[in-house]
Amino acid sequence: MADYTPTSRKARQIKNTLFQVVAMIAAGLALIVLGTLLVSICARGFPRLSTEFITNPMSSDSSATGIGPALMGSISILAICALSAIPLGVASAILLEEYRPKSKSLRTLHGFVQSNITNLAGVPSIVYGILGFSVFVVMFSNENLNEPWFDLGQDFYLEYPGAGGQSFYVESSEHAPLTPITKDADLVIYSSLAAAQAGREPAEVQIVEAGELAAIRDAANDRLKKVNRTMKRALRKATVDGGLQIDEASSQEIAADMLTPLKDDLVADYETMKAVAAEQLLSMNGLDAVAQLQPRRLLYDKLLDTEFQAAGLKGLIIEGTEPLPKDVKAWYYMQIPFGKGMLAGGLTLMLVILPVIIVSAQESIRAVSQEMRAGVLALGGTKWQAIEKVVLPSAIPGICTGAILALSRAIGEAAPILLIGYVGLQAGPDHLMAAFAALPLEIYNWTSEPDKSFRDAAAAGIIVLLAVLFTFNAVAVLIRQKFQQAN
Amino acid sequence: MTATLTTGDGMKAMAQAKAPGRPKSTFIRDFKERVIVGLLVLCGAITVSITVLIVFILAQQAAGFFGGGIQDVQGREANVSITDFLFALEWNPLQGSDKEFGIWPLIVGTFQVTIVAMCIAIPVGLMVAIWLSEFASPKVRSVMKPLIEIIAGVPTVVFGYFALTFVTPLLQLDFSGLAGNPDPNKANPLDIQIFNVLAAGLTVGIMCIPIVTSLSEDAIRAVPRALREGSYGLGASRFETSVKVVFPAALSGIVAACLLAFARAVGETMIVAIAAGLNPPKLAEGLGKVFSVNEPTQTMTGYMVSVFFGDLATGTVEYQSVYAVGMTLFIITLCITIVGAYIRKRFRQQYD
Repeated sequence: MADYTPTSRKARQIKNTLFQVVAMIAAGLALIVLGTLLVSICARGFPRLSTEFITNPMSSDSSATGIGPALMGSISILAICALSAIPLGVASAILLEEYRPKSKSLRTLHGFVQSNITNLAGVPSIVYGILGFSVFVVMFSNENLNEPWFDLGQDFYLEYPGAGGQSFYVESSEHAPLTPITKDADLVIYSSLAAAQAGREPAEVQIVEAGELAAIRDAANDRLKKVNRTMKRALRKATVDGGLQIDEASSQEIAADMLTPLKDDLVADYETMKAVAAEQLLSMNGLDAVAQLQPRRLLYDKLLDTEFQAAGLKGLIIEGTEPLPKDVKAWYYMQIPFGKGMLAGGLTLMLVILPVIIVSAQESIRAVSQEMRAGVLALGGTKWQAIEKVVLPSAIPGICTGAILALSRAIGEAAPILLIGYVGLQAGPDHLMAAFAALPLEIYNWTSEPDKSFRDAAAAGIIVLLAVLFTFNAVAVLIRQKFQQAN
Repeated sequence: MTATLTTGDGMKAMAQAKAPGRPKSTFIRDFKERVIVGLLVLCGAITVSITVLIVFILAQQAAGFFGGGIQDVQGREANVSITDFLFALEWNPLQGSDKEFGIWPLIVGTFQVTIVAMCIAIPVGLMVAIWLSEFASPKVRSVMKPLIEIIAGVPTVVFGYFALTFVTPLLQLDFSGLAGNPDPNKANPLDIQIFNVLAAGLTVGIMCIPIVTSLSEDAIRAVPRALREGSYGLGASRFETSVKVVFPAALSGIVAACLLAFARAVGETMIVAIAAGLNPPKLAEGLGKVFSVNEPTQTMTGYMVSVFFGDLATGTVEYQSVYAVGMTLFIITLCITIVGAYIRKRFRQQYD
């Protein structure tokens, strides 16, 4: 110790107060930064936040982009992560806490496992990303992701584009040759994928030569050219000050005017055509129909479409059309290796939070008093009975709180799934191995976009992410409080 | 605390567990017991295998990187020797035809950010910890502690966004930039660039505050009351007691807390990927670059993100370099964590 040097009481008191003030400022500063973070993000993100933003798919237009698929993806991988991490973590915690070995060599092993778990908590999350990629996505193989060793739950179809814009489906098998369709082909053709999957009655389809089709198309087109002329006249009649003024009654009238010259030529039912025309006219009410070609074009296309349908063009496939392979994956579709998909992503997040869950579960199990275990053993129960009936029920609230906090960390993690997730997807995942987008990845992508207008979308995405996190934390706090009140 | 709380529930559970009318066969019971133990051991083995697999995969892939016989993106033969990797001072794997794989610029970049972060996190975190445990009333403490811990729950990608869109304009003194429309003719007295060490480091530091605070507070609270009372009895003030008695007694735990925060800062990924830029310091041009915190840098994690997020073909030497960098990162963080655990164990003061 240094020599005792007397200092004035006043100076010591000042030092004491000074430290207190500085420490309070430090704590306040940390909170002010947190507050600034929230305020600055909310200020930029709130104007962008809307129902469309939450449901829209990603887009390259910063004002139309949304987080729908990313939110779905985040929730899905979080569910997989929870379902795998919680059982595994709790089981490991039970093993470490309740089955402490007695022999010396096993005790060393036990100590090693324990310190290993503590060390795992310090491993950077991006390293877990590498691990997850090697173990789950490619399973130590050379990365040929297109050819899984094994798959299950996949149906193969061939898709034939029809003449009228509709697609037709034929059951097929893996690696089936893509032969062009011929007139005498013996195929069961379905009108939609759903019908093909359910094996409902096949569609009535005619396979025609290209020349035949052109004739039908030309005839329909010729008939409707007449409409174009009468349409112009009828629309002018309905125009007031350059804008269309149409109500339900007058729309019927104008449609009748337009179509009467064609009444006998039409293939489609006259009444159907009239209804289509009236509906279309109503929807373009207020547009300057005569001056603008666009609304007339719309009406014409709609009528042509109806006419084609009536002429049977919808059920036609042109001879020689080449099919496209169409693989349909069931929700339980399974492949090994997992590939870049939801399952691999969820399991990688599991690796990240497993140490956290184990440590918190261990703490709650350790907090159960020893006497309660002894009670079960004294009544003749086995060790597992003591754990199952006494230790776990008492430790459950603590385990739940720890698990929820760990999951709230998992949902915000971007680094581990950088290698596995995608950005800019148009739809959420629909089966276990499907490509997924995740909210943190999308936020990162938008933030690092050179176009700065995406940053507002990133801020809005952050608000959604934080809202999910706060919900999680609130649930954890509620569980803890409810449990404390119960005692 | 929790022990007394859990007692009631456990008793209830015991009462609810039905007393068996007839004892079950001990054979089946023992068998079940063994199966369960087997399953538990399996789960334990999975957790251990995580570490083993990390080491194995990083080593295997890094061996592929150093082993030669792989090609770069342009299809040329590329050989990187382990001595080049460990001792060369240039890191230029992605641009130009002359590729350099010396890890030091990335390590220096990582420590630039980490040291700035620790300059924030350690003083602030420790002061808050001492204040919360020694000065603040229980009421203040019960409000402040959860508030500080909210910081730990904020995802790092959010901090990264904050660093890029708020901290950097603030450091540039560009106040219209704070609202999202940067002013190109701002004063910017410190010549802070768009991507810079300082903003990333400060933000990482803020992220690390709750780690330092809550772990050191635990260590400080573990110091027995008797020591404090002895000190007060000798006439010491709160400040003197905290600094001269409590702090030394809790030092091992505090150092361990700081090392854990350090490891977290070294491994921090998204903040530096967003806010620190893509250019590791050019050490070959002079060591002065180490101190230019207004310029962009790149950390080990930042490099890994830039490769993962880019569209490099796997199997090329550029892509494989990620594993060598990952191995370096893993070894550095593992060493820090192990040293922290050792210090906590070895220098812990026992008062029982």
